[in-house]
Amino acid sequence: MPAVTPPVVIEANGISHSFAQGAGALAALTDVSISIRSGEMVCLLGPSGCGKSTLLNIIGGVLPAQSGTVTLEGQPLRGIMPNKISFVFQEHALFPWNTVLENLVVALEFQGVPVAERAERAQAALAAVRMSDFAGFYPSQLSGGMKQRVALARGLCLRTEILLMDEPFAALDEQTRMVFGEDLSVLLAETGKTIVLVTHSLSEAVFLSDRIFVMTARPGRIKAVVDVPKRHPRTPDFVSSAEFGERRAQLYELLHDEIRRSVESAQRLPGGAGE
Amino acid sequence: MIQVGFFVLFFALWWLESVAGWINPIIVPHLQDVLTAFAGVVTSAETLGALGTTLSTFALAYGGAIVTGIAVGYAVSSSRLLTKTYEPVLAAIYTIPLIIFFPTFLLFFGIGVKSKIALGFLAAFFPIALNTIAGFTGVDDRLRIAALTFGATRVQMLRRVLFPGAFGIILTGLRIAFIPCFASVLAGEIIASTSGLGHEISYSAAMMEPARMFAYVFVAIFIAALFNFGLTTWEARRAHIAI
Repeated sequence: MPAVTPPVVIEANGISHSFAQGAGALAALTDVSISIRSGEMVCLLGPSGCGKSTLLNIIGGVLPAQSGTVTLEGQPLRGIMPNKISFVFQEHALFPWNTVLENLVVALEFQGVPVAERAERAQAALAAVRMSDFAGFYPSQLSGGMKQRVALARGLCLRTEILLMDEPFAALDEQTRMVFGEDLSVLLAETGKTIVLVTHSLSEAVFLSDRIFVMTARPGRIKAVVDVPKRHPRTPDFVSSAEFGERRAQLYELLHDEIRRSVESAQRLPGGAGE
Repeated sequence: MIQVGFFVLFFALWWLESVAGWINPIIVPHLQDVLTAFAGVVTSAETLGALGTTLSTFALAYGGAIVTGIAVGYAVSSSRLLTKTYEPVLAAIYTIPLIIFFPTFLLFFGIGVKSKIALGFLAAFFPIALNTIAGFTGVDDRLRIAALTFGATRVQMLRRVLFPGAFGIILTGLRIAFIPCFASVLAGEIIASTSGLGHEISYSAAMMEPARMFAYVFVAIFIAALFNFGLTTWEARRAHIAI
């Protein structure tokens, strides 16, 4: 069956960005260009401090790039687009004074969804991540993994075409990460969203992505693009397959020097490196 | 439970002293006399009037301080420059013992309730404003950014993110402000007034009726304890928010 190439939905060209000015300026990104197609699950993978979160914030419209352009569905991206792009953050960023359900409802309120629809959409999203039973709980009463599920539900209930996830598994333990990753793969296959995921985990990148943008140490450039052609949803046995092992090894080879470089430069900086 | 035990011990010791007669009863009246006076005081119409004066004075001072304190606190917290400039100013004025302004207020407002409202207002304003600034500036920036990505307007941000995020600390400010406000009102009434609980306390002392004076003191303590209990309970109920 001939495959129809999906249209490019996000295009970033020549993105460069620095933090602070003058002598203390920290170049985060140098001349980064990527294009992402509709329905793709794409990973930004790189060592700590390589600028991957910065890049995510730029293509999400949260941070204006100092140079370069970003286009969204052919139009120049000028700022936050709550109807087209939603975020899932590293530290869930749930409102502690609201219950799980209220957190989703308030996000829908911000997006401008009519009152009558909010509760239903929130409930549906919670069901999709299997957190329906916890609708009345407060974030402080949930485990890390549960909070991230709620954060994912919040991103999903907004029904944006694009979902940007900044290291969503970073705060989770290995086992929760495994389960979450499998669930995410299933969910993505069902919804057909375009997803950009920032991670520093090689296994995560191979398991979840269709394409992986491998970045260098700071200042970040795109070093290579690795394809993972396996269809979604991906089952747990994919992890033990030869193909998985090969891709992971390929990533390791690309990243090993970059990781070393980033750790060494962090040790040299007085305050240590950050994203 | 420890608090209750403390009170029981205190009254037990007082009763013991009353029976043994260690202290001059003009200075510390016997517990039985105080209890008799207390019974008389809480049932008299005079007390109701005094209570009404003190409580309405307090309500105006405290309420006014809440409204202006939160408004000023929010305004100062809205920019880093404003916060950096004015927070230290407010903090510095907070250290001044405000009772020194009372004679000025007496000159401006006379011996009536206005001078007490002014003093109480000043006493409550600073902790409320300072805590409001701390509350708003302390709201986790990641929550604010998350709200922005969902499309929150300025009003929605204030109503759904900033104010709920700041409220815990603001509530603490309200609790901290209560005692200085209430005490200032009472002190003002004791020093110079025509009515109110403080006035009754001062008058009883002048009339050499220490038992009656202590009865009124107990009424004041009871009110303070009630308010404090209410505010503390409210803070405790919010524990699930964990910030």
